[in-house]
Amino acid sequence: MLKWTPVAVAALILGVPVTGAGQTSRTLTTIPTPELVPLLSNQGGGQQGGQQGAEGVRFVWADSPSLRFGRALRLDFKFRLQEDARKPGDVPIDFETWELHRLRVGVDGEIFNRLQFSIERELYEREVEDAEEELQTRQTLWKDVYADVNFADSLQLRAGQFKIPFGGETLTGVSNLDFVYRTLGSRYLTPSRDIGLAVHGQLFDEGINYWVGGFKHDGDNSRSRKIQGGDETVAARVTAQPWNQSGGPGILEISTAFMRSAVSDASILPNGLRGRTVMSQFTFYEPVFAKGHRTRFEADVDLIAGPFSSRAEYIWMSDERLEQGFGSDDLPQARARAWYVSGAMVVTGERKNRPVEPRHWLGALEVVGRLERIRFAGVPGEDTPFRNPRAVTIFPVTDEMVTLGVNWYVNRWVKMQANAIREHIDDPERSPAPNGVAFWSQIVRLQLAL
Amino acid sequence: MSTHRSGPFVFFCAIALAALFGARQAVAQTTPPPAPDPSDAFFDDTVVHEIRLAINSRDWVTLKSNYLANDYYPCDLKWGTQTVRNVGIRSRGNGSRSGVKPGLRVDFDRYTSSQKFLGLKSFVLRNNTQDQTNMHERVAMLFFKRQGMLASREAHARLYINNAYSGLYTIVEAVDKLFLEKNLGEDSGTLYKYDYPPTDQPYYLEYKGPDSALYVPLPFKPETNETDPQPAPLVDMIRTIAETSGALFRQQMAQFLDLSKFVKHVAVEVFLADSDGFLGDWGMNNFYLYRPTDRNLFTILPWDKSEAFKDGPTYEIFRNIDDVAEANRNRLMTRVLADPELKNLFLDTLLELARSASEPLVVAPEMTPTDTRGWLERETEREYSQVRDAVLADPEKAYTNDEFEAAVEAMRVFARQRGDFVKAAVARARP
Repeated sequence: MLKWTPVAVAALILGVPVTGAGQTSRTLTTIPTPELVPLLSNQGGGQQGGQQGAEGVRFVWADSPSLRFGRALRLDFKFRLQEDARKPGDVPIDFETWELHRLRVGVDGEIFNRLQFSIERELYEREVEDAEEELQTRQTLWKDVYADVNFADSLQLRAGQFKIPFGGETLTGVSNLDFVYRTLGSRYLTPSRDIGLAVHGQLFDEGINYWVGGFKHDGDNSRSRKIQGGDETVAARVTAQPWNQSGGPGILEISTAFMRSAVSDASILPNGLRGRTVMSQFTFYEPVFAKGHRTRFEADVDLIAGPFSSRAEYIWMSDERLEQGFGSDDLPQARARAWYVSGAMVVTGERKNRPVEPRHWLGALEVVGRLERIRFAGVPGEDTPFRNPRAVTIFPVTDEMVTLGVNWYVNRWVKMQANAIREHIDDPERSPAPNGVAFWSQIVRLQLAL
Repeated sequence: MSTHRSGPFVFFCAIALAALFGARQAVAQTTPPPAPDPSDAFFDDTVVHEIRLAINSRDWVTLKSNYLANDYYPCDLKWGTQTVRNVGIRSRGNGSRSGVKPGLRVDFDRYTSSQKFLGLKSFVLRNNTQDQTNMHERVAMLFFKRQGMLASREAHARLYINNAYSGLYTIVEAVDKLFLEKNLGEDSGTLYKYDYPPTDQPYYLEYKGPDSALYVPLPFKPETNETDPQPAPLVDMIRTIAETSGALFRQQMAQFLDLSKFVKHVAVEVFLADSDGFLGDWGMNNFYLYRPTDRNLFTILPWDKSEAFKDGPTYEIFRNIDDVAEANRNRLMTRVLADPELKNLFLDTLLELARSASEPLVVAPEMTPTDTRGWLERETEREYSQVRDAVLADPEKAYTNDEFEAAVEAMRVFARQRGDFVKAAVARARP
C-alpha cells in the first residue's frame, strides 16, 4: 500500500498550480449524480463536447483529460485514487491501518451527440480483493460499462452495467461524497450496480427526472461470497426539483424510488441482506434465508443553499421468507430500515458543490456531520426472538452512528477528508466491542480524482 | 457429696452433648446434600434415549453435503416431552466426519448466549462411524470413571431428523466451562483441546522452541480464554520435559502435572488398547488440558475413545514406546518410564486395571459372586442388549449387521482376555 503514497503526494503537490483550470469547467444545473446523468449533451462535460467547432483531433483538459475527434467522438479519461489512514475503534485483529482503498480508471465518451458511453474498471478495490473471504464482495472489477442512446431529453435508453436507480447517496459518485464512507443504509440496503436496461429522461424543463429499468440481479451490494442475493429486479425512481436556482441561492431535490426483486432459495447460500460495521466490516447481522419477493423503498432530500448543504434519506426493505421454517413453513417477513441526516458547511465561503471548487490557492475547507441509523428486524412471530437465520421472530439489532469530519478541497481534483465515527450496536452479543459499548473509529483519506 | 461430685460431670456432659449436637447441626446447615444435577436424566445410561431434531430439510441436505465445514444450522431439539427452540448444530469430528451419518455438535446457546437445557450449553452426538460396535467410546469413558477419573457422561440415543430415524448416536457430555465448574469447582482457567491437523506430522510433545505460537492455538487449541490463552506455562512444561535433568525431573514437573494422575490416564488408555490416545499410533491425540488461572498445574481429560479395543487383547503395554524409533516416542512418557518409581507405578496401575476390569459382580462381601463375568464383559453385554435393536435398524450405519455382531464378539473376547495378557506383560516387564 505504501508504494502509492508518493504518487498521491506528488499528485497533491502538482495539483495545486493548475487549480484554475478546473474552476471554469462546470456549471451546476442539477445536483450531480454523475452515474445517472454524466454526459447529458447540454450539461457539464457534455457542454464541452458540444462547443467544439473545429474539426480534427484535439486534446482538452477541462475537468479531466479529454480527446475530441471533431464532432464525431469525445473521450474523457478518468482516474481515481483513494488512500486511507485509519484506526478502527473495535480493534479487529490484523487490520490494515494504512491502505490503498481504491484505484480506478475509466473513460466516458460521446458519439455524434446521440450515444454516450462509460467504461470504468477498478485496478484495485479492497473489498473485492480482500484476503479474508468473508469480507469479499462478488463485485467484479468492472464498474460502469454501459451505453446511453439519447432519443430526446425526455427519452433515453441505457443498457449495460450501471447503478440501479435507487438511493440518493448510492447514486452519488464515490469521489463526490461529503464523507469518507457512505452510510450503512446505502452500503447494505441499496443495490448499487447490476446488468440491465433502463429508460430515463427529463420532463418539465428538467424539473422531473425519471428512471425505469429491469436488471438481472438486485445489485452487487446484495451479494457476497456468502450471500446469494436476488434476481430479476425492476426499479423506478423519480426526482423532482421544486426549487432550482443553481446560479443563485441553491437547489432542492426530492426523490423517491421503489424496486422489487425475486429471491430464490435455489442456492445453499442465504440470500438475505447483512449488516456490517463501518470500518472493520464486522458482521453484526448475519443474512437470513429468504424466498419470495424483496421489496425496497426509499425517499431522499438534497438541499444546497450557498455554502451549506443538507441531505436526508430513508430506506426500507422487506424480504419474504416463504418455506424457510424448520418444517419448510412460511416465516414472517425479514425487514430492515435505515435513515440518515447530514449537513455540510463550506467555511471558507465557496458555494457548495460536489466537488467544491476552491477560490483560494490554499483550497476550501468544509465541516460535515451526519447522524444515521440502521436496523434489522422482522415482523414479529409467535416465537421469542432469536438470532438464527431461520428464526420465526428475528432478534432485532440496531447500529447507530455519528460521523463528524473536515474536508479540505486542495483543488478541483485533490481532496483530503478526516472523519471520526462513533458507532454503537444495541445488541451486545453481536457487537464487536466488549460489552457492546460505543466505539470511535477515525480515518483520513487522500483522494485524487480526475 | 455425690451430688456435689456429680455436678461438674453432668455439667460437662451437658456441654459436650450440646456442643456435639450443635456441631452436627452446623455441619448439616453448611454442607447440604448436593442438589441433583438436572442433566443426569439426559445422560442416564440405563436407557436408550430418543432425540428428535426439526430442521429445514434444505439445511440438513446442505450440512450433509458440506460435512467437512463447521457451519452451524438452526433447528429445534426435542428430548422426551421437552423441546428446545433454535439450537445450533454443526458437523463435527476428524476421521469420523461423514456426509451420510454426520457426527453433530449441538449448541443450545448458539443463537442466544443465555439459553441452556438442563443446565447444559452444548453436547455431542457421536456418530460412531469408526466403531462398528457403537460402544467403544461409552465403555471406555465408563472405565475411566470407574477408576475415579474425570470423564464425560455418555448414553446412547436414537436420533430422528424431521421424524425419520437417522441412526444410533452416542450422547457425549461436552468438555466445557460447565463441565469444569461441575467437576473441578472452577472454570476461569484455560482449557486446551489437543487438535492436531491430520495432515501435519505427528507430534510427540517435543520442545520446538520458546515461541508460544508453535504450540497455541495449534496443536493446543484454547477452548476458553480464546483471546488471551496465556500459553507460557504450557511452553514451560514442554521445555521442562525436554531439558530438566533426570534427578530434578519429578520435582520440576510437579508444578505442571500430577504425574501419578498422568500415569493413570495413560495406563487406562493402554489397558483399553486405545491406539489414538496420548501414546497414539499417529502421535498424541484425543485429550484436553486444563490449567486454572492461579496455578500452573494442568489436568488431563480424556476424549474420543472410539479407537479403543480395536487392536484386540494383545495390544502391547509399551506400544509406541519401545517399538518405535526414539524420535517417534512421546517425550513425557519416555521421561516417566525412565524413572524407576514412576515405571513401577505404571505397571502397578496396569495390574489394578486388570483386576478392576475382571472384577465379578458381588452383591455382598460375604456372598459368592452372583455373576462371575468381569466388569468389562458385563458392561459390554449390558450395552449390547441396550443398543442391538437400534443398531440393526440404523439406516445410515457404515457397516453391515453381521459386521456389528462380529465386532461385539471381538469386544467380548477382549473383555475376557485383556486382563490376563496385561498381567503377563507386566510380569515380563519387571526385572
